[in-house]
Amino acid sequence: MTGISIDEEALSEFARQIQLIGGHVLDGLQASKRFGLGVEYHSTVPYSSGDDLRRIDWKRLASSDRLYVQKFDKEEKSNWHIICDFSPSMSYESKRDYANRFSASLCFLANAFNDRWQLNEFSGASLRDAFEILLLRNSAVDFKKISTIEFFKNSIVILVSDFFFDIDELKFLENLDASSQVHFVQVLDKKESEFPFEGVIQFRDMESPRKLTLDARVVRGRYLKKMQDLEDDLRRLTMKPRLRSFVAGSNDSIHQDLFNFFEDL
Amino acid sequence: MAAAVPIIIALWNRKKLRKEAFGGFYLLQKILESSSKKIRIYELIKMINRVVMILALVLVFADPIRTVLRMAGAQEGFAIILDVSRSMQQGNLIDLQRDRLKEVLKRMPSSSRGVIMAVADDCSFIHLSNKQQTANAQAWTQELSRIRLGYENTHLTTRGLSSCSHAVQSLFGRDILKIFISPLAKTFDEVLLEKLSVEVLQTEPVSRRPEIQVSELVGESSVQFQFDEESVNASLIDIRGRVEPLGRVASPLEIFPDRLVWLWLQGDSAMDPWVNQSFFSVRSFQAHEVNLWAQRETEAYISLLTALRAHPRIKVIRQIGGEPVGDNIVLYHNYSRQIPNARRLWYFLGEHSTGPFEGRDVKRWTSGGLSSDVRKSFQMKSENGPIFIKQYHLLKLDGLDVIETFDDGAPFLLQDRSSSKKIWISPFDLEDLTTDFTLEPTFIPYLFRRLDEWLNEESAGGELVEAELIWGLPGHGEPLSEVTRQKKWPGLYRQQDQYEMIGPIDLPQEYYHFEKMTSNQELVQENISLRPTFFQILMASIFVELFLCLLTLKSFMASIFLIFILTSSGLWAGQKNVVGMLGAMEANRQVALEQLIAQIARQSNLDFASPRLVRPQEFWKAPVVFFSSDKEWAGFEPSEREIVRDYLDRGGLLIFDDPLAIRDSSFFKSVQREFEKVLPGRTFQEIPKDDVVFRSFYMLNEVSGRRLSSPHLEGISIDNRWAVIFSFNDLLGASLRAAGGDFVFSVSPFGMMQRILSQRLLLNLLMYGLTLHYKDDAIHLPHILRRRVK
Repeated sequence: MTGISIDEEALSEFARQIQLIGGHVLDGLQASKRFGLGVEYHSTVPYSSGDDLRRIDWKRLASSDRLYVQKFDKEEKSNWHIICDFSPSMSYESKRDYANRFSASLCFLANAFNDRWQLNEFSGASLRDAFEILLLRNSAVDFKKISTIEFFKNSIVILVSDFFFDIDELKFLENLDASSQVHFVQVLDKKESEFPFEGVIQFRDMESPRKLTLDARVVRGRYLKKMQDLEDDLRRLTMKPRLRSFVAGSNDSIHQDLFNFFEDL
Repeated sequence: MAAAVPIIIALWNRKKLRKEAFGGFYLLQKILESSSKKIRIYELIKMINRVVMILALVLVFADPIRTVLRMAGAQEGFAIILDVSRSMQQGNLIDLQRDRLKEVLKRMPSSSRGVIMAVADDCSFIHLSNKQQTANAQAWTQELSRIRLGYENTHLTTRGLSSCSHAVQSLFGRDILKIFISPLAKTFDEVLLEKLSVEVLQTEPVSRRPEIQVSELVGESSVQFQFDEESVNASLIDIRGRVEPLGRVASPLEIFPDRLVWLWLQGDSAMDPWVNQSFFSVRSFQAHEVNLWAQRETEAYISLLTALRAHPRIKVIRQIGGEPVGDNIVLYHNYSRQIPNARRLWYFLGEHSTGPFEGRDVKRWTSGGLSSDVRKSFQMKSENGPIFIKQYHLLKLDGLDVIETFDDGAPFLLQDRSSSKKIWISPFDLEDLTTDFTLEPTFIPYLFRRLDEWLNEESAGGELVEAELIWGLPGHGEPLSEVTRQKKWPGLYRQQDQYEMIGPIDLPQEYYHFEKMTSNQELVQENISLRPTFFQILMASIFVELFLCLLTLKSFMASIFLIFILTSSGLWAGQKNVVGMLGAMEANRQVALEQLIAQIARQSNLDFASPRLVRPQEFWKAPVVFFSSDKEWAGFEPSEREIVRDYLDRGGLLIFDDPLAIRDSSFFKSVQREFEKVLPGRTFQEIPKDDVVFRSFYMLNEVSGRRLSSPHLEGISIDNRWAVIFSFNDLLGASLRAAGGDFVFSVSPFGMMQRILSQRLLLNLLMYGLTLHYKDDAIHLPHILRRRVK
């Protein structure tokens, strides 16, 4: 698929890991029903902020003067667009590993659900191809290319990245089909989120030859402020309908993260 | 080598830099877009500061020395006399004079102190901002940027210069280097300069102003003046209806309302005062100038000076020693020679002198055991009532006619038979006035009434110039006829058939340039230690380092710790004792306390900081706290009483001074009431005269103050120590001085001595606050007993 040979042993090891993770998550999900958009009626629950207004149970409102929303079982097939950021900054510490496993697990689970799925711009790829892409690719997300992708209707778009780029580039997602959802999965290493450095350090950019020599203690406050600003920007973007954000630490348990992710769907 | 240490450290740190390929570089990049320069500058400043700090430290220990050339003759002191007469207003002479002054000051030895004086028609001292008259050259140089000299429109006179010379002599009591900086007219009495041993900075004359001849053509609504062509061409003034600017003077100038001074107003400061602006202190010409002469300054002389200065229309020139000069001379105490040139003379006779008169007898009251009849004879009767004195002179007055006497026969107005000149005389010694001179209700009205008679007497009025002002420069008001008769208003005057143009600035005939002025003084080398300079740099550098450290938390804590250490060790406060004043203290008494502390600092090596207002929460900063109020005191807040009690328990001292000087005033009662609450169970008691309060510095037997309303101090004691002291006699009021240096309030009944004792008692109280029973220690007893026996 990629034209670059891959270590078969590494690939099969990676596939085994994903199968294991996927199996775990699948077991968990079967124990608790997959809620969300569907056609088969499941139950009626009280309305809470953020629920889709189209699902309001109007008859019940008329009889009880209270707001309820109807939940449906997910019987129909979903379309998954998994976009994984392969930029060099994602190679920092265990971020890349985490993002690969997260994306691969999503592909695996979509495959297990018999849903339609697509990794980045590669449509119609098999699971093996997806694993190969994840293990070999090493480039930043090209949003121009992604924005030209024709997303399916009723899609779930999942963007896995550290989001160390201009957030304005994501604004095209606001124009997606009304039935689609977008989920941002921000993968950060603990060092990136906490900046625990001390003393004067020469920081090197992983995407360019630029270097900066800084007193870590002096800049820590301002760095954490910028990180907060970035998260706020993402949160502001996801305050719009159909966009969700999810911050995942690369040092966290991927099983738990995936399970939480699906619970949040 | 030492300076290289921080650089090496910086390079070493650079060499062992930790490198980190960082995923969040994008965010760092964003931070640095705004602040990378700041961080680099911060690091650079830190390194430079450390280099400076170490260099300064090394140099402080090395104690480097700089060699400079100084004037050899100024070792004993220096006096620089600045010409501030009207001639200074030509061109940029004022700037040049100031430059020369700075150059001269640079040549003064650093250890010598000197005085700067301003001279025109008279001599006046230039004071430093803290009212000091003398200072070293460096202090003067720093002060010069703040001092603005008042340039006058009067001529430079011999009298002014002599007065300066005398003042220098009386101030220093020895010969010191006197330098006169002036565009001195050649016509000035150079012989006198030589006699006064004043060194003059002078060069060749450069210009000469011819006299102007003018004729008048009177029209219906105007007057035209015609000048001969030669005069106009050569003149520095264009007199065709306007006045050209003549000089540049700093603005604004100091105003002397009692002197003949023409001043620039706000606005066009580069212009002559009479160009488009006018101002004229007409009242200034009404003021009489009186020279008060004495051989030496005594308490009675100062009292007389104070009284004369209180007169609204008299400008007093104090003259100590030398020959009396001036038109109106008041001689005090002892001058026996004739003064033929003075227009008016008034003798105040001393105990052993009878002036130029021959003594016949002295009536003396020396014992308090005399009968009331005898006492009455020493009450010399005047129109304003009796003046109570101890003795007066009876004189043989050959050649003099007695025009008026006191009822007792003592003369007070004489007339010389040969010259018909009137001579005023006070035949008693001012020192013998048994009541305070400045307060005495009879003598002051008597003196003022007689002064008015003396100064306005027609026969002694002098010859006025009968000149008619036919065109005067516009002013705020019309000039008085007295002014125009003396041709003191700028304009055109007619006198018989002659016309005379009086310019607003009457230029001297010849000028000297300042540029080539050189001193004849021999120059010697002086070694100056640079340690203080480098110490200051070191201190500044340490503070910069601390400030930079504040940017990080750990360093911030370190700085706080350092500041705490400095504060607690007293280094921060300069190790000076603070005298506190409770808020709402009476304003005049605040000033009096500040003056007292400044005086103590000048006269002794006691090191007090300037008094400051303190709240009870800040009492602990001051060992002594003063309070004075002419109203009932509201007392402390209930929450503050605990703090005050704690302060007093721990050794603090509160001093209350009653400005009304009344026993049992409402102020005292309010203080009593308050301390019943602050220190329950303790009451005010009389402080015995043998208490250590009365000998903590001076040996005192009595209390003093502005008015002796109580013979005691009262206080509240804690553990045999006075924690609160109340003075009923207005101690601070007795030593309060006005801006001119005169005492503001009169004191009674013992005059000047009473003021001195007040100041001594105040100093004792301050010392008591600092040292408590120190003087009670046995080691002092032999000395104290010896003093008491004497």
